[in-house]
Amino acid sequence: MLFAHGFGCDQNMWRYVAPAFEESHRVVLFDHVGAGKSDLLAYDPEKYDSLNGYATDVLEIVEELDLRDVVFVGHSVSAMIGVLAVVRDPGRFAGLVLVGPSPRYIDDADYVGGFGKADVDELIDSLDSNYLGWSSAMAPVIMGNPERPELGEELTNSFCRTDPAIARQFARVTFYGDNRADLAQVAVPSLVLQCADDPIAPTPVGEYVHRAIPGSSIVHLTATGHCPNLSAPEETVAAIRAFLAT
Amino acid sequence: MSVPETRDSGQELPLPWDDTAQELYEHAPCGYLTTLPDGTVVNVNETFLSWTGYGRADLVGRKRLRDLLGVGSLIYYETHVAPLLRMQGEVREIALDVRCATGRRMPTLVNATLNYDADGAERVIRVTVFDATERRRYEAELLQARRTAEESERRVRVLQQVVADLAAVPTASGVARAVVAAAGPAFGAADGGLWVVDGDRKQLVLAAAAAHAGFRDVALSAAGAAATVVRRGEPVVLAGAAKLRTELPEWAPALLRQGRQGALLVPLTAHEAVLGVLVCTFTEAHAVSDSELQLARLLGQQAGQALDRARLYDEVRLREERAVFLGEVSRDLDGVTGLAERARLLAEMVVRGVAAYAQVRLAGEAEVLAEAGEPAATGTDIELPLTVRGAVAATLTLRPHGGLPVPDPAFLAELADRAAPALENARLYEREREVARTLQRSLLAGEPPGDLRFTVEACYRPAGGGLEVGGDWHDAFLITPDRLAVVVGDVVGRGLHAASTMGQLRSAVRALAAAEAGPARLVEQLDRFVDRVETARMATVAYAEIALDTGTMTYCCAGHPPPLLLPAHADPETLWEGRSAPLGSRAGRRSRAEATVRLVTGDRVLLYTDGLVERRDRHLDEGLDRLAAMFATRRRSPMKGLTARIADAMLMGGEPPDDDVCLLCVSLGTEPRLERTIPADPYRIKAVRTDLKGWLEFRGVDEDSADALLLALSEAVANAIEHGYRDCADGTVTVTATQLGDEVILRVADKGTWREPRPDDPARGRGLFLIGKLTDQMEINTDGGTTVTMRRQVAGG
Repeated sequence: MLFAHGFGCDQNMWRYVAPAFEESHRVVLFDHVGAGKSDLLAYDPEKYDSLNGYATDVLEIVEELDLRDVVFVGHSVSAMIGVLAVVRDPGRFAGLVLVGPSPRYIDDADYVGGFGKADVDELIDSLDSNYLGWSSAMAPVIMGNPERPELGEELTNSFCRTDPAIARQFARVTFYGDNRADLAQVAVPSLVLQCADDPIAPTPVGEYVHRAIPGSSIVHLTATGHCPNLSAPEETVAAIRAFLAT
Repeated sequence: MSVPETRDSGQELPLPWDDTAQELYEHAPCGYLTTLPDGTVVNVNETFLSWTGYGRADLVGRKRLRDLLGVGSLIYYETHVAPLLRMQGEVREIALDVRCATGRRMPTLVNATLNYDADGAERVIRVTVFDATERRRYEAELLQARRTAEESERRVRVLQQVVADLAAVPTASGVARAVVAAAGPAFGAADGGLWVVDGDRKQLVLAAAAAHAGFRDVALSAAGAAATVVRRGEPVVLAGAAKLRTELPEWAPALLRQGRQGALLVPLTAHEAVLGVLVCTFTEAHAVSDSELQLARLLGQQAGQALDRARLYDEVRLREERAVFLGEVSRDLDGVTGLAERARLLAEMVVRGVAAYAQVRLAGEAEVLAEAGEPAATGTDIELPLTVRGAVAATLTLRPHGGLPVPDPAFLAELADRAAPALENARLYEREREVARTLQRSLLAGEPPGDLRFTVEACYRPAGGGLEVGGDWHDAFLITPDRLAVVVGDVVGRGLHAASTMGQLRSAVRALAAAEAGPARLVEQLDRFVDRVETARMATVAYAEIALDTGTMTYCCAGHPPPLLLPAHADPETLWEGRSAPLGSRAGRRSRAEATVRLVTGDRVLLYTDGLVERRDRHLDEGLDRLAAMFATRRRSPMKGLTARIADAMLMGGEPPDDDVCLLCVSLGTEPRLERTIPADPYRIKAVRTDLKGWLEFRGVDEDSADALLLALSEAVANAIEHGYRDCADGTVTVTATQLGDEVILRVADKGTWREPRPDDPARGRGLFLIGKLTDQMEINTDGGTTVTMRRQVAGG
């Protein structure tokens, strides 16, 4: 099983979920380039100007580790990254678990994504407010000592710390993206995990994904918010187990 | 003096009023919220309520923390804060915008902790909220300053990139493409196009654009922003569809169709002149900042200078190309000789170089002499008169490629200057060659005298390459009834001059021969003639006179290859005597040598020009030996066609010779086989009769038989002319006569249509009847024409 974290934090997002599958599966966790403890020097603004760049990385991981029958578990934007990866190389994948997916965040004609363009700009402002001073004070500490990651971890909020420029681009790529057309191409068993009252990926969006992916199933969790993997790990694990058992 | 009492440092300072914990909570200098793990507010202090304007009942049990956040903060909360809280139990100094009851956004800094109960289950989240309005304003200013700095740095990078790109492209079209490509990175434009001011400063001409079908050239006299930018040299910003419609009327429909809502027009300037306009288009009504305008000006200057430089480069390159092209025109046209070939090559080169289509017509002729390219190409034709010595010799019509600049007048004039003489010279050359050929043909066509005491055969082979005619000639004539003159000569040079000189020499020889002074004297007189006719100088000649009654041949070779004697019963002999220098050579004595040789019946003598035996890769002796051997093997060959066969054999494989070749063979005594071909003309029958009469006499055929055969011949030839060629005036009739023992065989052949004699055609029936009476045997073969074969036993011979 390959767990991919979404926009915001890193693979620690899976700390309560992934261990539950270690007995039954080989569990692979990773940080997207630009997030967590990834090598920031590997960040190429051109490559990561679309989710396809991230999907390429997923396929490279699968290839490098020679993973087969992969169950890809993607949270938030990684759900779409998983969709792109599965569409490009379906043979490697046995299943797709989409946790709080949204193929498009911004409203478009009849489609309701939940956000307007101005909202995304506000998010960018919000990111900037919270990252002020990051690059000048902290970046040297983190980037200069890749062999001593504990230096970075000691700092507050370390799990969700990202270079502001990267965070801004990732936010744009995530929230301006439109992967609705890719959903119909998914040809592996898929599960949509939809939280109650998820302000990022509202229930109609999850249901849209479920309808668009042929043969997919959807489980409505009682957990609220956007991160059931943290707020309701047991429920999340149970839903994934049930999916794996089918 | 008293010292004031000091307090112990560890002593509690009694408060002047009661401050309960509740009081502290409600009126703490920060907002205070307690929520359930899902964010539902369970307690909130007065400070927060007073800051935000909410009532306690609005929040408690009704709202979650995230419900109080602005959208940006909400997303941030969900994607960052909530996960962090759960992963590390607390978050600190998070900047969040709280939505107040009035709708105002209050910037805050938030700390939060997540509490667990004894079982480790999430129990409660405690949140402190600090008003950070001032700090955030300050931060916003910092942020703005940083964004501005980043933006400015980005612009500098864009500008540097553009400058680097511009430096790398030498051509104007390359500059245009590079500038258009910069529109996106520099201004966030959707795409753009670049127009350059044309040479007359009347139009803006599209030089490069991102796939915009709707972009057209714009007249500078037209109203609108494009012309304004060119006039004022300042950028213009157009925001909104209405502005696009009024200011860019030519392009607005296409722009609006593609969802463009704004445009930025940037003048490209160099040396204070506007060379063009860059148009950036935007998908929204784009507010252009001062720094963007500044960047636009800088970009315009850089692009203008690059354009200026590229234009100079283009011009230099174009001039070089044109110069090379013109050089090639001159050189390549010289490489071919014919008028039609030159015209075709000219048209082809023009099409290769500057036009989609070209044609050449001679002056005063409607017919197209040559054309090249695509006749259906659209465009305006340019008629270029090709003038030589003030007269129009031909017209070159060229149709420039659509969309490419029309070749400039100076270039066209130069092209005409080069093409005109080439065509005119080819025309003159062809005319001269034609005249020379005609002259030569007329001079060489004279029939050799018909006489049964000798036979003359000659042939002429022009040099290869279809070049000018040469000055070789041959002649044979009777000086007196018993004295035959034969001559072969070679005039230096080629063309009309050589041909006419040859004619003069030929006439001179005939005239001088009449004096009967003999070959040496004749050639001495030719020397004097050559003194007056400069073009005949260094001509060579082999001249021989044969006394038909005695068989004595006197000959003289002035700078000419030696005659070749093939005796009837001996090996060939090269006649090396009687040699002297070429005509008018002024070398040594002016008196000429001559030599004499005795010929008998059946002897053959060959005169020829050096082209027959001289080869660049072979010694002259080799050629002479070869000729002697060739001649010897044809000892028994009929005279008819003999010289042509020798020429073919010597020149090997039918390759045209390097030089003209002329041969003349004279045979003493009559042929064993008489063969004559005459035109189908009743008046020519007499000549054949005369020849046959001589041939029969020479063979000692009895008079009765001779008369009978002559009459049979006349009837048969008349039949062939009258009936075989009834429908066709230019046929020929071939007469052959051979003797086999005491039988003479006479054959009359035509290529006409045989007709069965009809009872109503008494004349013809009588002819065949007569032939039957006059000969012993008559056969008629009608296979491919008609051949009448007649045989008669003769006495004597």
